Amino acid sequence: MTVDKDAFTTAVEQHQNTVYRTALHALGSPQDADDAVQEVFLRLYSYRGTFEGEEHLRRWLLRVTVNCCRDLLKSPWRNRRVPLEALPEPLVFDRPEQAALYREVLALPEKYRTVLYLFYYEELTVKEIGELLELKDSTVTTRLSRARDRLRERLGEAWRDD
Amino acid sequence: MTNKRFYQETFSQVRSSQKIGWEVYQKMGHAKRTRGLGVLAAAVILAAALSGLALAANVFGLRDLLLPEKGSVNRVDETGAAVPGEYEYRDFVSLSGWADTPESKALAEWQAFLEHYDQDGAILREIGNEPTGFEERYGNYLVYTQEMAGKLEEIIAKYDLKLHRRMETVLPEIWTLAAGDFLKPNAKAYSGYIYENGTFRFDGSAELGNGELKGYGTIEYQFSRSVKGTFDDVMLNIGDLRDFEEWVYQTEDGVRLTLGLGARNRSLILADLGDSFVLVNVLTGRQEDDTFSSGAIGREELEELADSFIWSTLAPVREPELDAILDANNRQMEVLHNQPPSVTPEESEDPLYTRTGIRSDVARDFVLLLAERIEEGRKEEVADLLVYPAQVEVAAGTFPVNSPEEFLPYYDEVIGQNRLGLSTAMTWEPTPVEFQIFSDGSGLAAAADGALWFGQVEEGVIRIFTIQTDQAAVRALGAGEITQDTGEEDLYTALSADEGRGFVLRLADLLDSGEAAEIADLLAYPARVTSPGGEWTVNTPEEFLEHSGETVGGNGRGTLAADLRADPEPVLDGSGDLASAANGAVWFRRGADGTLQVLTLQSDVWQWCIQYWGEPS
Repeated sequence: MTVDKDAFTTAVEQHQNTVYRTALHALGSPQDADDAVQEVFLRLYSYRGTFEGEEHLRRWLLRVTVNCCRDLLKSPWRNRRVPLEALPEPLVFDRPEQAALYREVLALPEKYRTVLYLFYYEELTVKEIGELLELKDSTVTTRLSRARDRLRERLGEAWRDD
Repeated sequence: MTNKRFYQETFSQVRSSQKIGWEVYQKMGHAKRTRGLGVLAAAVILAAALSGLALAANVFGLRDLLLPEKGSVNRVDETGAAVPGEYEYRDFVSLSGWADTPESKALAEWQAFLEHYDQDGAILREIGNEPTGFEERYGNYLVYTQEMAGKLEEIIAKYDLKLHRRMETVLPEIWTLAAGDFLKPNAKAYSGYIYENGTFRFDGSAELGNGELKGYGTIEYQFSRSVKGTFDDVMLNIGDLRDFEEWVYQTEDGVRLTLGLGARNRSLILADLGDSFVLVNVLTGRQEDDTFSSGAIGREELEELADSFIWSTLAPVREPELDAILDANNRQMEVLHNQPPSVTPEESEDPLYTRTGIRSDVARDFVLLLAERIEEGRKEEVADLLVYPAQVEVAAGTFPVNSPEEFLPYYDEVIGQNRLGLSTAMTWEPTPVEFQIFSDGSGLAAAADGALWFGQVEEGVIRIFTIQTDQAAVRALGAGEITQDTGEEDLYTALSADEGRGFVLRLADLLDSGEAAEIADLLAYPARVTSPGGEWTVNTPEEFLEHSGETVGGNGRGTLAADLRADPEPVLDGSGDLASAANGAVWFRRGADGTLQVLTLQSDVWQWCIQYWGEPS
């Protein structure tokens, strides 16, 4: 599959939110995550290679998103500020415990947020997360374990032992 | 509801609001980056100019890099989130060179202009992300009106500078092609970008540790080379200039650098290479950065990082061939996406690393340096390396110790009286290339025939769990029983790779089909069962089956089975009597009755673990 206009449009429809959620976990800021979405799809637009299928494309996008966020997260090259009026409306969730989970996840340090998301939402294995983030499996496991402990501590019964 | 479902239901409600379209990118051509409305500066609050406090005078130092006005940034709270409406003032430096150079003067003027232009963002909001027509010439700069374009032209004419024309991404494997061989083996570059004139920037990491017993580990940095003669609008927030201790350092290849060790979590390396200026933003300082470093650093580490680059290859600047870089990037992307997942060489070739997370060479350095400290009687430095809380076992009894200070009164009895014996045993080598470090599957490494046990307590930080002699010992509490592997029995020799692989695959089948009773028969007893519901010691298959629902019959068994199938090849332990598979998810050996026994079985994310809890056979 090459990235022509149709494939690009389909990819945006199917994966834009995946890219956004990954970036939101990595960056902790909805505005920065939206920036990352633009950057990631710019890279897809510019990509000249082919994809072997949907899963290949999804993994490619996850990898590019992680790398792109890494650049954004660590780059104080630019002074970036968000005027108050530009902040989006607070999200409204179906249930209060979901709002609490969202709040507590985003309150975690970045290194815990990303592994948590890739594990629980994208359902990647520890090995796959390690490959994606260039971390040893033991590091992924430790981060995951600490993130879960923290959520258990903060969310009480809403976050079960698993 | 499972946590996974809870998580997915929650975050499925979080969606991107960006409008992404093929046409927009098409119109933008190869513009470097898009304009996100949310992140562009709306108003910059200026503070008083330079702070009155001065650093020690250098001919060229950080002060000479400083832009003439401070800028403000949002204050962040303890979680790292920006606090709207609250600002802090920061010192900013140019990446293009000293403040009195044309490049930095131009940057200061441009910033001064931007700070007063479109302060409320109204013009930008109106334009949105639609093409402006300024992309072709100003695509690498923040220009979206004719007025901005005019100002930029005025500034570059005044200082006789060019504009960047083209930029390409550089993948990690392409840096040598893009900018030459300027990284030493311990330094790594991630992807970054390069301009037509040779200006480039990337994030990278380096392995340090030659200078400190702790075996420092990984440090992360951002590398910027700005080629002179071209306007570059990038600047760096360095916090407070007064936080930096500054000195001149001459590298191994004879280049003089200015180093700035930050009191907080940032440090700097500066180099004026004649036709370019290099600034390395080091992501740690005297205070560690939890995300980007293995710990705090001192002057020695910063100098070691400075020597991780071959500065002499960076000058004079060689203009890059951007088309060749683009082609190489695309070829590399193809390679990356077509290759099957595989374990890294260091995992497959270094059994100690596989079992402990510590590379053999790092472990060896740790032991040698510890032996040196013990031999020289550097008590405090040895005490600092122990894991606490611990207990000492001496002639008078067993006593808890919770800190280096509490341990020091026992130092002589535990270590001091065996000073030479310990240090000699730790450094004894049967052959020049063979070093006696081994591991038993507990995650720890051992040396001196089991007198010393050590392990990684966090990424890149090694600490001592046990030092034991015939007379006394100090042991970390909560580390479990440490078994000394004598290597007297060669149980593994009769186990072929085929048999090991077959055993692992059979175990995977049993997990998938929920055959808890059969799995129970494969375990070595007594065993310790750890699960989210508690911990138990079980002595028979029947006792184990009371807890199988929380382990091999519960959550995680499917993932574990898949992991075992994905990597069933048995890896022989360095001591010769144990084998593991699936990156340590299972450990097994041949029991006294000749059958293979499972010593350890653990689920993917340590949701549960079954571990042999008896004496070594």
